[in-house]
Amino acid sequence: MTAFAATARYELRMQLHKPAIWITTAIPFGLFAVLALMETQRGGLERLTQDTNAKLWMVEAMGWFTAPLAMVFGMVLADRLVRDRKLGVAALLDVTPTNRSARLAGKYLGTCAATAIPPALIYLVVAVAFAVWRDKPSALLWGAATFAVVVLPLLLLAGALAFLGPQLMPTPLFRVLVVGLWFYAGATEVDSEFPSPAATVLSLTLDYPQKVFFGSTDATAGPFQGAALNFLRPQPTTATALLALALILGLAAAIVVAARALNARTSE
Amino acid sequence: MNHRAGRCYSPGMRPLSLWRHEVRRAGWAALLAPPIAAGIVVVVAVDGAARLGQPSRDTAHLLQSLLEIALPLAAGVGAASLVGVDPAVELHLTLPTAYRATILRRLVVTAGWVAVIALTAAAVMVASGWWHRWPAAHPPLAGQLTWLAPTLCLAGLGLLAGAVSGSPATATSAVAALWFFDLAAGGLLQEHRWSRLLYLFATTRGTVEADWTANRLTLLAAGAAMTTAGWLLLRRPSRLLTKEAE
Repeated sequence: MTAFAATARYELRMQLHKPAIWITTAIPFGLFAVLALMETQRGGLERLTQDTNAKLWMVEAMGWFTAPLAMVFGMVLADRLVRDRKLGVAALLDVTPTNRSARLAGKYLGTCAATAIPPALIYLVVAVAFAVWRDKPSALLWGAATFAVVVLPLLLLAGALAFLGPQLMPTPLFRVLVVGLWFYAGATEVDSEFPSPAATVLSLTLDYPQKVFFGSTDATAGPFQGAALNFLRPQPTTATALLALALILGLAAAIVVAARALNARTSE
Repeated sequence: MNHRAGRCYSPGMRPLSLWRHEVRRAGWAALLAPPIAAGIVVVVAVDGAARLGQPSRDTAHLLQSLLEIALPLAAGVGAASLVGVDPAVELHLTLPTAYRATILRRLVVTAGWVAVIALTAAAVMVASGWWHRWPAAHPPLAGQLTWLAPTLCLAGLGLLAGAVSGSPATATSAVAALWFFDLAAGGLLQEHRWSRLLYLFATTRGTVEADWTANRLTLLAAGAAMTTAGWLLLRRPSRLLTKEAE
C-alpha cells in the first residue's frame, strides 16, 4: 500500500473515532434547532416552512451553516499537522522510506474526508426529512449537489489553512483568526464600510455557485454600485460561478503546497 | 544540593513567582491575540470613517463593538485552550500546587490580559472623546460592563467546555459557535426576555434599554457560575489527562 493511501486511511479512521468532530459539527445545528423552535410561531423562518422547492430549500435552509461549518472545519483540523511534532513522532516518520509529500497529501485528504462525514450525514438526514415531508425525492439530489459544490470546497480551503496556519502561529491564535476570517466573510455586506469579499468570486461563502447553480436568494453575487473591489464582481454566470469554485480550490491547493514547503523547512 | 534550584522551588514556588511564571509562559501569541482582534476592528473603524454617512457616530459604534465583540472572543478561545494541552499532566498532578489551581491562574492571566487591553482602549476612547460620540454609549464607569460581562461569560464557557470535553478543539468550537450564533441571530434573540438577558452583545447590537443592566449582571453571574462549574469538574484528574494524543 502506498504511503499516501495508508496515511489517508489512518487519518480518516482516527478522526472518525474522535468525539470532537461529531460534537463540534452538532453544535451549530443544535443552536439552529433552538432558534427554529423559538421562531416557528413568529414567522422569522416562515419562508422555510412554506417553501416547497427542493433545490431552493436545501441551499437556503442549509446556507445558514456555510460560515459556521467552515469555522468548525478550521478549528477541528488545526492541530492535525503540528500534532506529529508535538507527540514526537514526526522525526520517526521522517526516517521511514516514505515520500513526505505523499504523507502530507494523505493526511490532508484523510482528515478532510473524515471531517466531511458528520456534516454529510446531517445533510442526508435533512434531505430525507424534506423528501418525506414534501414528497419530493429530488431533495436528496439537491442536498448532495449543495454539499459537493458549497461545503466540500470550503472544507478543502479551511483544511489547507489549518495545515499552514498553526505552523506559523500557536493553534489558539489560529483558531481566533479562523473565526475572524469567516465572520468577516460571512457577516459583512457588499456595501459595508470597508472592502468586503462579499459577493465577489473570492467570497468565502461561495456566493456565485450558490446563486448561479441553486438560485439562492440569500446569496449576493455580481457588481454593486459604488462598492470597493468591484473588479472581483463579474456578472453571475455559469462561467463565473465555475471560476469562483476554481479560485477557492486553487487557493486551497496553493496553501497546501505552502504548508508542505514550510513543514519541510521546519522539520529539518 | 543545588541551592539556586532550592531557592526557586522550595518550599514550593511563592504565589508571586507562580504568577510571574504563568505570565511568561503564556507566550507572545496569547498576548498578541487580543490586540490583533482589537486592531482589525480599529482598522475597519478608521477605514469606514472616510466613507460613512455619519462617520464619527458609526466609527464610535464600531469602537464599542471592538470592546464588546472582538475582545471577548479572544478571551473565550484563550480559556478554551487551557485544558488538554499540557504534555506532562501526570507530572503536574503530583506537584504540591494543584493543577486545577494552575489552570485557574492561567485563566486569570488570559482574561486579565484582555481586561488590560479593554481598559486601555476604553480609557483612550474616553480621553479622546470617541466614547461619547456614539449617542447610545453608557457612562464610562458603568460602560466598562460592555466588555467585562461578555468577556467573563465567554471565558467561563471556554473553561467549562474544556473541562467537560478535555479537548481544546471542542471547547473552542463551542465558544465560537455561541459567539457566531449571537451575532447571526441577534434580531431574533431580542424577542424574548430570557434570550435578551443572555444576549452577549446587548450594548452594540441592541436590547431593550431597561434590560441592559440586568443583561450585564446575568452574563456576569453566568460567567461566574460556569467558571465555578469548570473548577469543580477539574477536581477529577481524569478530566485533566490530555486528549491531544487522539
